[in-house]
Amino acid sequence: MGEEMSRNLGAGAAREPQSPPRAGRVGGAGPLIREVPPTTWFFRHPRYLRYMAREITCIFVGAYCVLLVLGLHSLAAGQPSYEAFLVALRSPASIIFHLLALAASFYHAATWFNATQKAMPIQLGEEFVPGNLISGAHYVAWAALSIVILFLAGVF
Amino acid sequence: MAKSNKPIIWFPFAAGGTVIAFFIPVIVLLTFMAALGYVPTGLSYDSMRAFAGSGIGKLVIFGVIALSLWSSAHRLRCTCYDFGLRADTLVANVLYLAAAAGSIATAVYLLRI
Repeated sequence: MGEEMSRNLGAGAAREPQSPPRAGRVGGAGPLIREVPPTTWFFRHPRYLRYMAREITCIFVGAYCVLLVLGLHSLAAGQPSYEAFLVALRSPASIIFHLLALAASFYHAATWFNATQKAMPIQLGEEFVPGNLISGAHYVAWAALSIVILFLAGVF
Repeated sequence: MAKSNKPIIWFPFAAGGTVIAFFIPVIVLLTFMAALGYVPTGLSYDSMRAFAGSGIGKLVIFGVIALSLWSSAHRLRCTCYDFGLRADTLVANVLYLAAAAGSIATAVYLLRI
């Protein structure tokens, strides 16, 4: 997703900074000169910033997965080790990290579900199912699944 | 038709993105509660041990962690490129190897339980 998109965004931004991204250039005379600053291009348009915000969530989600692997390691190592892991979770750094991971994972989920209506439009007969219905169904399923998991985990 | 490795990278990326969206927020919520000192009963040693000891539990844990790791690795590769780090082959190898190592570690720990 990111790779192609960013290349196309970059090419689009080089030609017309204010225009929405377009498909990559096909043919045409002369070489394409890309005057895109490779490290600051995403400040040029709010939509690029939102794109980068969505991409950056992966850092926190990835780091959180590493935390899960460490937790699994302590679980496999026996009860004292697992209890020590639970205690280690209570450090201030862990609490701050959890807040960031919480924000990142919710932002990822929301943008992912919002994208479903574009990624997999459903056609019934002549008509397309309204996009918001597809995204909305994902939100409902997400809420239901989360409540079931919280219930199974004994939260309520 | 031209050969491409993209489906192999893309399928787990899309599957992982979906798994992250559906599962990771609520899992973060659970460990966040533990971080605040309210350990849910489901996160106690006995419950987690029983869950990870069952076949379906192993499958769920491995599926969630491996797919999330892969998806994050792929997205981080794209993010590195977007931030101007253009050594894409190196970045891809490092991140995919890290995701593979994390997945193998997950499988090994699960088999020990």
